[in-house]
Amino acid sequence: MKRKRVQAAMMVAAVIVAAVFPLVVSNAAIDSVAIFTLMYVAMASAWNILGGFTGYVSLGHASFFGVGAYAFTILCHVWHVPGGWITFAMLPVAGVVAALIAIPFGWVALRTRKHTFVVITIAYLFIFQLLAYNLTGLTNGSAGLGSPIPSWTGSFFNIPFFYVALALALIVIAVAAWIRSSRLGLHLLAIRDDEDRALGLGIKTGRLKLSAFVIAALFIAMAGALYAYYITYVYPPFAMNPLDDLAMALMSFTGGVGTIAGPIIGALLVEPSQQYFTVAFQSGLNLVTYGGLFLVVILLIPRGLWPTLRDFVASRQSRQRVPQAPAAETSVLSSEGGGQ
Amino acid sequence: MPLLHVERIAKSFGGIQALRGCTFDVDQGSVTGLIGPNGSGKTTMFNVITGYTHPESGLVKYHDATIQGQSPRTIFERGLGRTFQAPRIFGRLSLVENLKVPTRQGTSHEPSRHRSTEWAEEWLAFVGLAQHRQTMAGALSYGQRKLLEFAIVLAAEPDLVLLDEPAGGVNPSMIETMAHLITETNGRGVTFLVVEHNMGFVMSLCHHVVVMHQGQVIADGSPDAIQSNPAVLDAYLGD
Ligand SMILES: Nc1ncnc2c1ncn2[C@@H]1O[C@H](COP(=O)(O)OP(=O)(O)O)[C@@H](O)[C@H]1O
Ligand SMILES: [Mg+2]
Repeated sequence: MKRKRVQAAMMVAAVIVAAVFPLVVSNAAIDSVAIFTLMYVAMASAWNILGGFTGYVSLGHASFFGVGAYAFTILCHVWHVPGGWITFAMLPVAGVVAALIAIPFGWVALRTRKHTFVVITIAYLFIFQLLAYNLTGLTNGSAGLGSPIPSWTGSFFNIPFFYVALALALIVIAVAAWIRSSRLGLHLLAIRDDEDRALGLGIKTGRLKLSAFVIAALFIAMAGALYAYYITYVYPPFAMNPLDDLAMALMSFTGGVGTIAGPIIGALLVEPSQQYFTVAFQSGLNLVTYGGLFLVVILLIPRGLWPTLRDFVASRQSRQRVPQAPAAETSVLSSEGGGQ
Repeated sequence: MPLLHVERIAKSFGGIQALRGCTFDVDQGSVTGLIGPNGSGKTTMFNVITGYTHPESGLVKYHDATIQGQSPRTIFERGLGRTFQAPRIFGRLSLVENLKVPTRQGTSHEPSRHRSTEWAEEWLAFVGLAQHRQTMAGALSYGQRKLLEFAIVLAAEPDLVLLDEPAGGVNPSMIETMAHLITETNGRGVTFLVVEHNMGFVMSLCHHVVVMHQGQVIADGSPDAIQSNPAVLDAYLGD
């Protein structure tokens, strides 16, 4: 319970730091990095509900980022929504559109598992990218679409986007934490560990997996809508970007996949450094950085930073209290074996 | 009327005929043994009864409802639980969380609220794992996993439980614990169908024994009758 209180205190401190950040740092470039970082906190945390809790690693949810961006821009045109504060109300609308589209795609992809699932989700990204290029009546093809222009300008420009990104990140984190502590979360984790076993203990695995898939799509799409509003434009290659898929997975794995704090920590580390490398070295060196970081994480800290650090601190504390830490019992045999 | 009635079940895997028309009953309130040499089709029979594999032909009746071909989820909801030969627990969940996993939606056995931790701890205490309640299940020994899986299944208040080699690969004191748990739970009205190689275990525990050999039921009777049945001795010694 002490650990819970420490975590809550850390969370409150982080929110306070985030809340005053744009007031203290008035550099527009840095504020922009902060906005993107918060967007990735939201996206990685949403991705983690499916990839971390449920164990279905999707490399296609960037499709829904794009669907959110396009849904936002297109619906703002259709409904004549001007740029302003009210425009932010279109974020959940875009999210719901993407969630509805995610249902059939999730239903199909979730009939497969493991590597097949990963491959199918990768295919989704390219399907959606092709659609964005070719449904010109809807998307204006490679020329892209302009989003509503915000009614505020100058040094204030970033501020509303920053706080909306912060709010979105906090909402996703709260939803993820609620799911983790609920029966739904327990059942998702059971699916991750042994799906067939879970089915044989009464769990509606199909429905729950699909819920996780759609919830992730909903929030990732809201981030996409926010992105479209912020950069005031939406193009196929930016909206449906394979790098976003890598980013969400990499951030979750770096921080600790399946935990609440992991994707947050991962996004806070990866996104600013990625932006820094892009500026410092120009060009596509950030791709090399992604690949390199992924290798380091998988080889050195496969569970991610957060669980590794947490256990390290816990083991140091227990060593200080009792001279000899009790040896943990280790497994004799694994619990693998289908239908045996 | 038996609680479980299996009739002429056939199942093959490619060229291998794993089950060739098996028929037997499990009486309400009994501990019934299902024995036979390795590869005789016992686990396949369990998979058929619990919905993990679908038979090519035959009939499985439980509480008078035909259940063959239904999903493992539906069958579990009806109150038919099982364990696996190699225990299948949720390795990255704590023991308490493992206990809270099963659900029987739409039945009177489903709690309206999230199961409490105290409730889970009572079940862990019942199988002697209370001191490990916050341990990740993946850190348990093989025998402890069998006990945990037993508790998970029983916590859902099933009427019939299929145990696949509950004493297999487990140390002698844990075998005794397992036998004691089965007897005690049976006393509370739970029916058991037990696959086991340990003959002492089977003969002391079971009221009735079904013997399988090469996908067929070759004998069916009281433990005493089975022990002196020439066909059974043949099947075991002939192997
Ligand atoms: N999934 C499967 N695929 C192919 N063959 C199988 C499968 N499951 C069981 N078998 C075969 O069916 C026969 C019966 O196996 P099993 O039911 O595991 O026997 P038992 O549990 O009595 O040892 C064996 O010959 C086994 O090799
Ligand atoms: Mg077997």
